[in-house]
Amino acid sequence: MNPAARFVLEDATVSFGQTRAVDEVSLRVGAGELVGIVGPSGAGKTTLLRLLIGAVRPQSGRVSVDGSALAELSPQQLRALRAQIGFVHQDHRLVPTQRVVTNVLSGRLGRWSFLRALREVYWPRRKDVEDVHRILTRVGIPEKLFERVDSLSGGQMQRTAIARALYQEPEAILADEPVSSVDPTRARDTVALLARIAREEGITLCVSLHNLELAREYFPRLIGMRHGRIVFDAPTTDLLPQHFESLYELSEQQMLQDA
Amino acid sequence: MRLRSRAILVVGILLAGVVSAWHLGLDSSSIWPTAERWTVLGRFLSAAFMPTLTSQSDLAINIVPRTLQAMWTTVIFAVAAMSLSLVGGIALGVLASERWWSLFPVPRAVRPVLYGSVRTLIAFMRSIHEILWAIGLLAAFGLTTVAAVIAIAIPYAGTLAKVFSEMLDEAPEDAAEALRMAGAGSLQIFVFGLIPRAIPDMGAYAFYRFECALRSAAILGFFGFETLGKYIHQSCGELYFREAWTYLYALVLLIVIVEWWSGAVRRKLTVA
Amino acid sequence: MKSVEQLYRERPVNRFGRVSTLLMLGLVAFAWTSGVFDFGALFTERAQGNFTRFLTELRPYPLQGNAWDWGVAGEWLDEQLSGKVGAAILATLAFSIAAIVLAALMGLAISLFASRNLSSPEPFLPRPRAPTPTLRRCWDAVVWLSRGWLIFARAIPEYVWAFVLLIVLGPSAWPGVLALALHNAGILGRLFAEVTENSDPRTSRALRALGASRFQIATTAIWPQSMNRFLLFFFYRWETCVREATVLGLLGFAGLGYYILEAKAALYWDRIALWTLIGSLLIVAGDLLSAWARRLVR
Repeated sequence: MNPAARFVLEDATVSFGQTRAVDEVSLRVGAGELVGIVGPSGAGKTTLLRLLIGAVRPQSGRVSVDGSALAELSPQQLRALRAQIGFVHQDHRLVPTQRVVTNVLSGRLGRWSFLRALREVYWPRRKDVEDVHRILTRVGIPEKLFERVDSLSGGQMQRTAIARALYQEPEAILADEPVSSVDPTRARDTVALLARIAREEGITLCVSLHNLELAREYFPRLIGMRHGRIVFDAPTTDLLPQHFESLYELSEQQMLQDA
Repeated sequence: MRLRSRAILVVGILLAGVVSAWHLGLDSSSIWPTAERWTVLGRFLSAAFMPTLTSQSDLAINIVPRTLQAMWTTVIFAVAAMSLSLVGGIALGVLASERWWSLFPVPRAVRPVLYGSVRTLIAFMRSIHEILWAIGLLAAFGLTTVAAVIAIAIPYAGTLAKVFSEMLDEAPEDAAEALRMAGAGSLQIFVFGLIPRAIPDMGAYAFYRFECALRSAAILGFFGFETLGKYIHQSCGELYFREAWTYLYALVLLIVIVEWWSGAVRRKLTVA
Repeated sequence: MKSVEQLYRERPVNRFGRVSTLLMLGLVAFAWTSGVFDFGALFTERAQGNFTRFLTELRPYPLQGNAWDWGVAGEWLDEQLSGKVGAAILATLAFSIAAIVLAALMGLAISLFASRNLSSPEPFLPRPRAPTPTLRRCWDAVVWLSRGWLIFARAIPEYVWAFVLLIVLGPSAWPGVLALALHNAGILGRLFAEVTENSDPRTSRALRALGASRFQIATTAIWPQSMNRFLLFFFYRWETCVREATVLGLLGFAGLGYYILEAKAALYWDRIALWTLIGSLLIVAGDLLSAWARRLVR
């Protein structure tokens, strides 16, 4: 089976000054795949995800989404593409002084002209508010619909961010450590939820996670990253403990450096 | 700043103060009032405890109505001036912010010209005191209330623009970035992502400016407009200090109320 | 599970915010519809005539009605400024500096009395015997009075202070300096008091345990810790002082405003414009200097 490739990276390298956050990485993610990205902090997981949505440009190599190279897209085309991809940031990136419903409604800005957006976000129709309510129910915080975001806990904010991404009705979701600020039980629920929604609706899902257990449990394919390189990229069932150890072990060099 | 440099700075400041005082001829003899001056000063200070409710020029006139009217006019002037200056201040503030221009790239050659001219315009507007604007505008358009209000609105718009542009440039970009990744267009990113992050501070500052506008509106009374300044001017000119203190207290009352309101607004804006 | 309607009804509403906004909008609406302001007055024939005449009078006198000539303009400029501009700028600056320094000193002094942590019967550490209610009330009164004084000082605009003090104290530079100083002391005093109240109490507590007096604690523990913020406020207010000092001259004090006053008496608009412009440049320079100083302090 060769599922149509959704995201393709060809030898992409991203450097920030001297360090290579992403080092000649190639990968293909097909439509509807559920991929977990694991690795220690600083491995380049965030940069990898940001490459896929064009938030960061590679110094060399190519990024293509749905067959088109990102570098060759016009701003409008890029915009239209991004409207199809829901991105969940590690630090949620909501507007704290606004209500949850307003934040979630902002997810569809990519679809609307400016004036229409003003109306849709600030004077939403009842039906749209109910849609938001439905999504919030799915992520487990229906009662927070009209609460101000800054009155929510970290985990609830994270789930609001996920709701915003879901409201986009995206074809793909990229999530960067979406459960890092969430306590373990909730984290499991949230990851399970993401995986379930993705499977039910055929959404391509790429999630970067700290937590190996969660990754192994919910993602049929795992990519391991370390120092900007891909250490392994395989179906979860094919992976052995050695693979994971190699990801996290400190080389002697590193330990000397850190000291 | 390092401790030693800071100590030097403080000493420098004190020195500058002394030199300036010397340059102006400030010495103890000129502040120490002469015999007649003492009576005036004494009357002035004691009148502070005896503000009067009747006019000192004609004891039959009750000055409460005119005081209240003047307070109200002061408020109206300030409100009118602020409404004008907010419009100008927001528009210019947006145009003077670097982030606006980074979102709406204009040809390389044009951008510094636009940006630079907006900033210069703002500096020009701000640097002329409202009294000076009033002198000019009242001469140009005659002694109209509109001209007076515009005289306050122009420098205030400039100050608001400068502060707003700084707030827009320093507000967290997180929400704006997230919306960009969701496919929002430039104007949407600015209005839905950046402005909401800056609004609490902008609102609080605008309210503070309103308090200042009250003071400026009071001063305009010196030109003859029916604000508190007019009566302060009149009564002091005739050395009717008790009456003057009534008007001064009225002004203080207005400011205290608005300061309290302003503080409460700021607290509510910055806490959930 | 609650329905959307229910959630909407129960949503948190900022009552105060709403009332404030409505009140403000009401005031604005009232202001513009009250008839006090008539924009039409700006556009009458007479007003337009006045305006165009005014514009022509802004040009240097020898050039009014003639074509622009740099040579003549330069001569006029020279004539207007020579011998005056330097002294005027110095005087204006001197006013601003003397006033702000005085304001800072007064502000520091009063902030001692206006800070609730210093100005209390038990600063930083409880006493062996609890203070009597009367004592507490006395200290509260001290705080209230000083804060009240600060409010009064800053509620009165500088220009009004100057006008009043000129009448009361007689002609000298003092009313001008005091006017700016008092108003700014009101502002700085309050800011300093806030910083003092928010300062880290640990050092103060330690010093208190060793028996230090309130004044000693303030000068050796709190002020050094907060000096950076004090300096930031200082430079920030100095900018405004420069601005206010330029118009002090309108009341007769030395400085740029004085020449504006002179020109205004004779209705020489070209000179008024010139001195206003110079004042403007001075203020812009002051702003830049203040911004630089504040960057240094940070």
